[in-house]
Amino acid sequence: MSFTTRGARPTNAPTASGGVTAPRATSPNVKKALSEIDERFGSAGFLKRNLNKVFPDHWSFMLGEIALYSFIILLLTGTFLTFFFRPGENEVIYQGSYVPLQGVQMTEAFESTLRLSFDVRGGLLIRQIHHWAALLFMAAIICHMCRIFFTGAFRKPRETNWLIGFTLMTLGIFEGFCGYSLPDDLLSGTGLRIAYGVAESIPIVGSYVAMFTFGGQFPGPDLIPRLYVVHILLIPGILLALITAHMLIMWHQKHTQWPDTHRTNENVVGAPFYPAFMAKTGGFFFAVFAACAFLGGVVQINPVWLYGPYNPAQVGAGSQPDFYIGWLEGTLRMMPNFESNFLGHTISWNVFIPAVVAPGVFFTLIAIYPALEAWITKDRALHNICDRPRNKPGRTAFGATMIAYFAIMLLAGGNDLIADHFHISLYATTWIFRISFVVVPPIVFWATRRVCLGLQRKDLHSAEHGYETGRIVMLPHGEFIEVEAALPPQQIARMGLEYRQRSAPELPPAVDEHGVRSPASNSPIEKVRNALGGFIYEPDVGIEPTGHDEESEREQQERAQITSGTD
Amino acid sequence: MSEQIEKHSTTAAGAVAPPAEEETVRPPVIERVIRPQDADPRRAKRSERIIALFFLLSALGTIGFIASYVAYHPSTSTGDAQTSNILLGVSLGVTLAGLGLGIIGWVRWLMPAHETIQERHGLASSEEDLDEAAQVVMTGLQETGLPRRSLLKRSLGLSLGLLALPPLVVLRDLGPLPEKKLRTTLWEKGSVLLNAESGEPVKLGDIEIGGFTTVVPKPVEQMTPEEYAKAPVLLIRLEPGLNKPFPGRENWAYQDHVAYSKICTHVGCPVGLYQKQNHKLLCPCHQSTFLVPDACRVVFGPAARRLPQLPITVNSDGEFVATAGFDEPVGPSFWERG
Repeated sequence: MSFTTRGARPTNAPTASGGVTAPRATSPNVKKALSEIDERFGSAGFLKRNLNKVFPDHWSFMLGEIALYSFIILLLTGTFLTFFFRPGENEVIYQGSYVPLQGVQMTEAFESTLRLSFDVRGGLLIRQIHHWAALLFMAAIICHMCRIFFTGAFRKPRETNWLIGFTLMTLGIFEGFCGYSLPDDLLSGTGLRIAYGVAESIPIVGSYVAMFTFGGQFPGPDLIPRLYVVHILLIPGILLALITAHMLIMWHQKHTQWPDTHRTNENVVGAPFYPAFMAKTGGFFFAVFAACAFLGGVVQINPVWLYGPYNPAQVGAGSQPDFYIGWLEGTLRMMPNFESNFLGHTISWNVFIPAVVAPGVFFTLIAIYPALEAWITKDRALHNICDRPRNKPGRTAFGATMIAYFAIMLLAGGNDLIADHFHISLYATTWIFRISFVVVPPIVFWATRRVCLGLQRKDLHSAEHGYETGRIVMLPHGEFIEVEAALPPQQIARMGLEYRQRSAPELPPAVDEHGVRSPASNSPIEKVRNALGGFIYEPDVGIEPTGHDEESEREQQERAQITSGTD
Repeated sequence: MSEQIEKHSTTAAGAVAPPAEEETVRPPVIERVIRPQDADPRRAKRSERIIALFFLLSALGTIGFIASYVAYHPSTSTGDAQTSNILLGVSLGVTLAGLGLGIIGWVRWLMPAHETIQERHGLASSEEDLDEAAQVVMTGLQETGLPRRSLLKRSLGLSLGLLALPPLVVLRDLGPLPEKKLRTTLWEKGSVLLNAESGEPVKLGDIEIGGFTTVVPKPVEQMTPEEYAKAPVLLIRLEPGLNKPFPGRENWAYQDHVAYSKICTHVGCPVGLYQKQNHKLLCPCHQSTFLVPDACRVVFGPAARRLPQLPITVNSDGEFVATAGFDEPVGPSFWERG
């Protein structure tokens, strides 16, 4: 086939005709093979269509790929781990080769974790790759969601995929928590103790939820085997199904793209899937796997043998969960100690609010945001062009605010480390985070919106006036001006100015032409919608006219003549 | 496709527009990308060599992986476990990175990278198709008779609604009912305070002033994990005269020795850190802080309640014993706690 002679192919050398033309390469063998498949599945049309499918390229589109590939790595390494791990709660005496713990009583789960780390060659490596890949999986999902959010790629027709992605993230957090709880070491056992306490805090049904989940009182005889089945079968199965759906929907709806000269809402510009895109993404899989392998080999993670087996009377100082759980640890630490008693019943707001209500609100907001925005903007159009974050200041500011909340919660989850590292009083850090939690996000909202509007103005200005050439010209009446040159059309196209948020959604007129008050403007829901719209979308730089009166227009023309004359 | 823009052009020849009718089996090209490799066969050859080098490196990595698998057995020593892990990880990393970088280089340097264009073709169907689909749905629904036969509709609704219950009912045995289980511990009148590490009774004088130890009512091996999880108690010896007993608990301490549940009232972590200087107990999980001489009052953090106190005395053998069990549930709050 022609692959081997790439360099010599006439199509590859720049010729008078401009270079690469596809050879009409049909090989009887390939055709025969395809025909064999086609006769059975009718696949030629499908193949032709999908191999030619055009994928736009941008670094930010790789984030989802990283998540996908980490998931595949997790499946591969996880399967290996199941060959050795035993999810048992029975107590055994350790007799493996890790000397410091020999003779110590521990559960089968912890013992088999040690065994697969120290007595199975490559076991520790696979365990560490698995853990690193899990962190990468969650980090990539979160970055990918941010990309989708800030570019508005969740808008119609992609709302379903946003919800599937949201479910994947939620399940991923849960899956990670189950996974790192399995070894039954001191750190993860403390995490489970906290989980039990959180379950107990739920009003009315709390102690039932805790008892039924753990199979009794903490630590519960059934928990590790149950977590195991959830971790290796139930959630991965759902994840696999949802990821498949996610990919198929993305494939079917075609990828979003950034604004550019040839790109419109009705086309896709990029590389065909086969072969370049397919090869590149395949190579990228190996690169992601390589990163995990290096990390697993060189950077120690979750050294359970140092923590020791779980013991309800012991706790390690500086216990932090993985980052995708750490923000919940932060909310628990920040919350003031409210608890109420009435009619013989206790509600521990100090646990229920930070560990159940707060994440509930946070996640609900994330899940419904696409619907919320569509409701506020009354936008029912199909969108295939990515928004530049600056062009949707309201949305970008909202997203930045959510990130600010997340960051504060996460940092508060490590306040003891911060206090220790920076020599601040532990209690002072708690107060700093409590105050930041209230004060910082509104500032972030306001600042992000101002920055977006400023960047928009800059774009508008340079699209209108071009850039400064540095050439100074004297006009006939003695005025000095600097000549400005228009930007290349592509650069202007990439600003995506025509896709900007033009203005807040139109208010329905309160009083119609007959002087009758419109029922729509009266409805409280509509009022809320308008208030939100105004809050998020006003003001917009695009509304103001650019301010050319006739005289300045004439002057401009004159100047243009003069400056072009001197050229 | 008349428009043609060049990236990284090395030759002027590349700027000439190609005939539009080429490539009918591929999406139309709108932007040619001519790289140095396309212009210069020697550069292409050099890139090919670099890519091949990556692939060779990958092959070497695999050999290294197998070699380190055979050479080091982690069970011989902890040091070997570490060496084995590093060698296996790095060689596997080289294998995968060689493959990955080689393929990516191959795509970037040697495969065509033109921008092509494709119409999206709206996903929405035509009005007629929609109409027909709606008719099919409605016709089918009529055929079932469900809209007319309300008896069928209601009884089916009832039956399907009830079907939700068996999956719930069958989950009943996931765990026992809470009953009074969360309220009780093994501690009772006469329980000897045993050192949690050694299982030996703690005697008066075993603890220095300002010292503390974790005690349990039974040796750890003789308790179930559930019993053990609620059992740990901190026996602390305060400086003489420091303890200010809670009203009604005047005789719960013994000669400056006080005993409090070690299980945090916030979410149940062991309150593991005792600060001798200021007599505070700190939970390392969420930093709830309890002032020991003031009957473990909460002075900071998210815990809402004091640590439950265990009344103690010393028996005729000089061993610490509980004069009663806890008078309140230990550990986190729950709805029925009251």
